[in-house]
This record gives sequence, structure tokens and C-alpha cells, in this order.
Amino acid sequence: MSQRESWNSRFGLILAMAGNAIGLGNFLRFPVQASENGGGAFMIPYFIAFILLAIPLMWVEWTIGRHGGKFHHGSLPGMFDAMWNHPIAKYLGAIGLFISTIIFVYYTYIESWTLGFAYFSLTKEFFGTNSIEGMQSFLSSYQGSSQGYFTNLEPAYFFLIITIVLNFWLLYRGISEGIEKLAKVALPAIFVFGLALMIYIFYIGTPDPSKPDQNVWNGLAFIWNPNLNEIWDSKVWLAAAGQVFFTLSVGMGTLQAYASYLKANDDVALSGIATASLNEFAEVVIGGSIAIPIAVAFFGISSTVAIAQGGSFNLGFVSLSVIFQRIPYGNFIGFIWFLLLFFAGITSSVAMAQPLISFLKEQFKISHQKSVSIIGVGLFICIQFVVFFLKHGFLDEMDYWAGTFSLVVIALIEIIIFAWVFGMDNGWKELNRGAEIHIPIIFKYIIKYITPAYLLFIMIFWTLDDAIPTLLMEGKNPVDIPYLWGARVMMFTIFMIMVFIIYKGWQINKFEYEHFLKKEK
Amino acid sequence: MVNQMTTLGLIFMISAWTFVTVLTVFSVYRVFRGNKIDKK
Repeated sequence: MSQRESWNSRFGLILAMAGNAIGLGNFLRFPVQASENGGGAFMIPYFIAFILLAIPLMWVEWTIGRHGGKFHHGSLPGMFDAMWNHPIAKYLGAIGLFISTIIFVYYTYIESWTLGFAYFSLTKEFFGTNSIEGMQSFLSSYQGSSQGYFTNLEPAYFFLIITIVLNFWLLYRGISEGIEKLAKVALPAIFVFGLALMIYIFYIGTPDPSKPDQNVWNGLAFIWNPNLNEIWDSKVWLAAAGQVFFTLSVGMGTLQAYASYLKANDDVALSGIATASLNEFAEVVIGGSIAIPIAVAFFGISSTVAIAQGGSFNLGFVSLSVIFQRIPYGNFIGFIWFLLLFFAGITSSVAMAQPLISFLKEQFKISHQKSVSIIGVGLFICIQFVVFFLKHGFLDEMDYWAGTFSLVVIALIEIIIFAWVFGMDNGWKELNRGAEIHIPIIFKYIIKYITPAYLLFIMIFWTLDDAIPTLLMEGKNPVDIPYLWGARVMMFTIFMIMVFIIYKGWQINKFEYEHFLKKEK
Repeated sequence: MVNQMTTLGLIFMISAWTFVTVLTVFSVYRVFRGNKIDKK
């Protein structure tokens, strides 16, 4: 087998992993979830989920990835096959390959909005549109969902092309020269921009002295004052588990893909904790101190509640764009905010393409450049549907099935394979190989019993509460239904392509893998 | 609607910030101290 790429430095790898985990959700989804689910009380189930769900999954994914890398596998089909000698194992991994690929398709488009808005903010394009309704119309016309400031999709398309080119240029350069170098620039930039924005927002304090109740401090109170009655509500626990789960990018196959480039005895225990904690710092400290506090300071609690209920994009793109027009150097502050989101987005999107790139290279023995080019063409075709059918819920349908529901499915599958099929004793030994911290033995039992039970509970609840109504398209506009079916057909087609290429790949490499497995044993 | 910071809110905020900050500083410091790949 050919020599695989590797990371140049351990810190570069951790920054790339943290960049993968830190995404738009840290700055937009977290504050909305916290404020809607009991404020400070949300943090109790949040940190419990962090310890019982996120940390174990982080360790399991790093370990599965490093173990798969020994067999020259950079994606879940091969990684599962290396842990479970059963023909079905590799096909279960198809779900992981499917998830990262689908998310990559629509996430790239969302990422391009942040780049577009960074430009619009710097050039004061939306300045003068200083009401929430006006900015909603601006965003919606930019996305082609309605007629307004923009009359066509050309600007959105322009920034999409730039985003795609940037993504593929980085992917083309490879792990150490592309992704690692990006992480070394983008991650420090995210923290510096985030902390600078935080300090600036605290400095703003009470923007309108005639409305003393509208201040940043009360915005923090909105997020942190605990409503302890809500802690008994199961929905708050599910929301907290969901937030912890999404924020760390577990269940996508991307952490495993990055970890596969480690050496067999490189540490995963400390690196996993470092990745998770960098992500939590970006979320809990920085993410909770920007969007909601400034929205409360300018619009008051009641309006912020309405804005937050309108969703993360309503908060991040609409309300903040109105605020940027009211503060000194607002165009520059807005530019920094959207650039922060863009960096958070691009460090995640390049990770999402990695499993499929590795798969094509390893299974079909094609060059890195050719593999990246094939995926580039595929992305460009699929993304057209997302761009042109956005207003019909095409993106939301993909986000629900690939970016929400399937993540829990794959996380449950991988933890069962790791703890129950590969065996917890083997798994524990593998996790502790080269470990630079002592992992308390209790985590052996948490990984084996509690984390799978936690995931199973989430999956059952989501299936009953969300998945069945979504599957039956309850409450959907009849006009949108053909487009939603279109999204499902596209996803199903991509999934079947994944299954087919796994089948072909194993036909080609069967003897090579058998040799490797025997050698390892 | 007025929502001022309560003592409990402040305790929750400071505790959460402290927890993630200590965890981040500790783990990143340990990574820097034992940078195995870099040494190779």
C-alpha cells in the first residue's frame, strides 16, 4: 500500500480537529438553545451530556480513526471493517460517508452566505436597510427566496463560486499543506475575532441611555439566569444533548478521517480532550457572549425572544446586520463577525470532504488531485439543487436527514461496534495506547453502557417526536412537497452510489485487506 | 419584560466559564508540553 499523508505537527492536528468542531452552531445555535431552554438551568444537562456523551464519543471517534489508519483507511467503511470482520460492517460505514458528503453539499452554500455578508458589511451594501423586516427581505432576496434588494441569484452564486474554489484549493493541497495550514491561521483568528467582539460588546453596555433595561448585562442574564423548573422537562435534556452532540461534529466520520493520519502510538486521549475543550470555550464563553447579549441591548428582551424563535440565521444574519448599522465602525465590526463565521464554516467544510477523498484514493488507487476533482464536479452538480430550490425547503430536508437524524444513528452504530463488537477491553487498550493523560476507569463503563443508552434514548425520542412527522411531511406546504421528494431522491441516490463504490472498492482490494488484517492479528 | 442578572445566574455563568477555561488551558498546556509528533 502506498505511503499516506500525515500531519506536520500535533498542535496543527488539534487545531484542525477543533476547526472541524467549531462551526456556525457555536456562535448561532448555542445561544438560541440556551436562552430557549431554561437559561443557566440548560447548562446542567448540557455539561452532563458533555461528560457522558461528548467526551466518550470524542475518544471513541479518535480511536476508531487512528485504528483505521493502521489499515490505510481514512473513512468509516474501512474503519468499521477493520474492527468488525463481517461483510455488513463496511456497508454500515456507508452511512458515515453519506452524512459527511451530504452536509458538505449544503454547508458550503451556507458558508458562502457568511462570505457574502462579510463583503456586504465592509462595503456597507445593506446599510440603510435598518429594520428587522428590511434585513429579512435583504437576506431572503439574496437567497433567491423572494424579490427584494436583489433581483436574481447572481451575487449569491458569485460568493458560492469563491467559496467552492477556496474549499477545493485547500483540499487539493492536501492534509498538511492545505487543511493544517488553514487551521493554523483560521483557528487563532476565530478566537482573536471572537474575544475582540466580546470585549467590544461589553464596552457598548447600554447603547440607549433612555432605555436602561436594554443592556448587554441583561442580555447575559437572559442566557444565564436559571429557570430551575425547566430542568425537569425532558425536552430541555434532549435539547442539551442535541446541542452538545452537534457542536462537537461527532457522528459525521470527519474526526475519524483526521485521526486516521496519526501514527499507531500517537496520543488520542489528551488530543480528544483538547479538541472538545477548545470547542466548548468557543461556544460557552465566546458564542454565548456575542449575538444574544447585543440583540438584547439593542432590541430588548421581548424582541430578542421573537428573533431567537425565528432561528439562528434570523439572529446571526438579520438582527446583527441591523445592529451593525447603529454602532461606531459597524461595517468593520460586521465584517469581523461574518469573517469569523466564514472561518468557522470553512474549517468545518474542508473536513466534511475528507472522508470521501480518502475513500476514493484508497479504494480506487486514484491520485489525490483526481479524487478532489471528482468530488468537486459532484458537489457542483448537487449544490445547484440546493441553490435553486432553497425556498422550497430542499436544504432543510437534507439538513434534517443527513445533518441531524443520521448523526445519532451513526454515533450509535460506531459506539456499539467499538464497545460491544470490537470489545470494550480491546477498545480501552486501543484508546489508552500512547495516552498522555490517565483516563479514569469509570469511562470504560460509561462508554460501554451509559453513552449507548443515552444515544438510544435520544434516537427513540427523536424518531417519535420529529422523524415520523418529518417523514410524513406533516404541516408542509403542498407546493414544496415535490421538491422535498426531490431532496430525498437525491440523498437516496447518493447513498446508493456510496454502497456501490464500497462494493466495488472491496472487490478490488479484497486480498490486500485480508493480508493486512492477518498481519495485524 | 425586564430580566436582570440574578446571583444564581452569575454563579452559573462564572462556573461554566471557569470550567471550560480551566479545561482548555489545562489540555492545551499539556499538548504543548508533550508535543510528541513535533519531537519526531
